[in-house]
Amino acid sequence: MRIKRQTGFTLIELLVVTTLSVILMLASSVLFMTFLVGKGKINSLQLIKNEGDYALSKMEFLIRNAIDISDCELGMTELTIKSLDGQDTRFFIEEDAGSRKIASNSGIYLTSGSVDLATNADGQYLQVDCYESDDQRSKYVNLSFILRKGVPGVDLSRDIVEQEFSTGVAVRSF
Amino acid sequence: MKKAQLGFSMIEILVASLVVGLVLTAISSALIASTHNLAQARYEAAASKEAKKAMEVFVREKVLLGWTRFADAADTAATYCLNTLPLTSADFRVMSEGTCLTETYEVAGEAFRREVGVQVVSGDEIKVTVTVSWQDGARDREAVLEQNFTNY
Repeated sequence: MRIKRQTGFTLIELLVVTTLSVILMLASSVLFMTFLVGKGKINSLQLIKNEGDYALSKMEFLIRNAIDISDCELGMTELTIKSLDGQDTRFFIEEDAGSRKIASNSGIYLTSGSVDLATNADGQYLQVDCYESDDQRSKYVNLSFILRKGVPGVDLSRDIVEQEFSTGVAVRSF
Repeated sequence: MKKAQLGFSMIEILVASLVVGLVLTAISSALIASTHNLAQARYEAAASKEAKKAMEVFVREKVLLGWTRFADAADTAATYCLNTLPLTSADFRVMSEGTCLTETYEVAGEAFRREVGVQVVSGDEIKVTVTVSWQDGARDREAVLEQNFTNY
């Protein structure tokens, strides 16, 4: 009897090839997922940076050019300054439907609803430290807050991004 | 009759495994380097933030103390270890001189050392250099921030 010559793949060969391709696909999909998560994180961080820098620069400008700061203490949660136009400008945290924004009393929000504020080590959303010189003529303000994108407990912890913003401003004495 | 050879020869297998080995080594070393760089970039960012915080204390004290007392607090050339920053003007005026030696403080999971060099350039100019350093394996890494304070 003539044995027919074998053509095509054996079962073993097919099994080996499938296993290998499955392993490869798993590895590449993990890589792809990490890439997507990383990209989302970078986007969130960029958003937070923009919002935080904007809020800081606005407050910095107004404080630097303020005429005076009436309440000057350490560890304040809001700040009221007497602006150039003689009016009081107040910076504070406004809570709205569970998320917080930095607001000023002129009705302008300095951060948008797409980011939230997180508490610092002292449990404050906005920390204002105002220093006064002995002769009470010079004042210096330290501002700090933490912006957060993503809700703890709702979003995955890998999707939550936080960044601290802080700056010091010397009030120009007039 | 000699049976025709099936499969790969020794040389072929050796060459193939050599090539595979080379490629794997290249990929893994690139991966390790990139994770390491990422961590160092994070520490670098944290370090420059820490340096800025220390510089802001000097700006603050120049405002609060006024030039004369600010300049009095500075010796001709001095180094201070400011792992913890002076909170008040009173603390600022009694900072003790000296380098950090082995003392460190932790930010973002890394041990940092913050030293501030104060150098009186002239009666109206003081140069402040903040150096935040950390250990990257056996290498010393640092972020430096310089500012000249003038009496205006």
